[in-house]
Amino acid sequence: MSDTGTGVPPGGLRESPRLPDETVTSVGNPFESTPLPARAITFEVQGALALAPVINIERLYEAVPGTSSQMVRALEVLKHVIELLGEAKKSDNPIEADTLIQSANLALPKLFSYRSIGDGFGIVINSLHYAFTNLRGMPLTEEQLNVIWRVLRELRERPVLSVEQAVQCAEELEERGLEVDPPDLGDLLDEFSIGDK
Amino acid sequence: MASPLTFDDFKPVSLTSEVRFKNAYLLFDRTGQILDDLSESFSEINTVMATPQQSAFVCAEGTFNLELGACRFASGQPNRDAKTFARNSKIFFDIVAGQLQIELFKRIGCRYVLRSEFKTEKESKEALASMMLANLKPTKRFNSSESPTEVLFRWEDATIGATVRLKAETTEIKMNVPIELQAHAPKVDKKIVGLTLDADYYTVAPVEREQWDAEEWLQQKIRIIDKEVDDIVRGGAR
Repeated sequence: MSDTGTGVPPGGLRESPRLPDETVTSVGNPFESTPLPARAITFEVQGALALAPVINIERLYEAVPGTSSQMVRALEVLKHVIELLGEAKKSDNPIEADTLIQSANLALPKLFSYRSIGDGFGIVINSLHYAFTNLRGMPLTEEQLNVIWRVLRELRERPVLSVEQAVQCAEELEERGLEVDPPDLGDLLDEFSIGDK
Repeated sequence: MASPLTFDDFKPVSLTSEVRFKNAYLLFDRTGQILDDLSESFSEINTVMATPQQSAFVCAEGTFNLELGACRFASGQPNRDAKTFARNSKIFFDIVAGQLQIELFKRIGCRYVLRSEFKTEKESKEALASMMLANLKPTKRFNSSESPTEVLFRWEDATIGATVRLKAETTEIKMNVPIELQAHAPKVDKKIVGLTLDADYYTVAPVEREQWDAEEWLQQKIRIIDKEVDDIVRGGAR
């Protein structure tokens, strides 16, 4: 791999000598070396990258002691919530499972406070919040628990997901009978549809 | 032996963020749109170079470089508050990824160049030698200098990589002013003697666009670079 580039090579398109895999810089590269003839040939198999495993999210945003990163905190909370729901999935005791689910539900407002990560992130957390609220105390079905667990895992792997993908996640929740819109909004929409008739 | 130098002796020269991707041929159609979008967030953008395969724009905040398989943002006046730099990088990368429909980054990198100035090149070489980074006895090698004038380290696994380079060098800045303007603006001819510290942090494994928040990532990685480089300059005593 070559260094991270740093901008415009002096004198137009001509590349200044670089170390393999360096980030290119606009100030040129002070570290000159005799170029290897093989550098002119790039061996790259088209589509090979598609098979390479993408980076693990925990390696991408490593927790640095003494620093506070919103992303790192959000990933930690998401991990905790996923673990709680995972335990609930495995539990044979419905009361214990419900307690675990309620604990997971309590963490959602905290996740909502990290919504500046992205609009997609906010939509998914909002949808989950209303899905729980609209249950009005009724327990989740196994299918509903599975879909919530899956959506949260997806969110943890791709926290900067697009609005379109977040809407897809919300639709997945709806397909399992979870209502993801605010209760008042539902009433309002009903009123409008009555008014239309 | 502890190095007499500390990280605080190094002053920032440039800070660069870069993403690489599979050749995005939409660049042929959308460079103008990218420039338009950038104009909404950055004032007084000027085009330095515009070719089908590569374009460069400058504004007060820094330089934007756009290529078929990479783009980068560089700030020539980095301060150690990385927030503004990270935010500007995010705006740029979001626009480019959106316009060129890039879903996967082959590599993302952050490069920080700093310099500690000295009066003479001899002094800067002595400062580098005093850091004992290469762990070699000072003796003439290759019938050249006694101590290395450049030291390079690379750490890399399947996911993350980093290089740190130190070089005692003299940088020459020369700018020729057109003859008709020389009465108003004298030509620039300056030499800077110093020890250059060049740190590059990058990903080896591909990164999905939906995984990466440039603002968060860059701020975090600049802190990591600061911390690690500080330790290396102090002699790796951690």
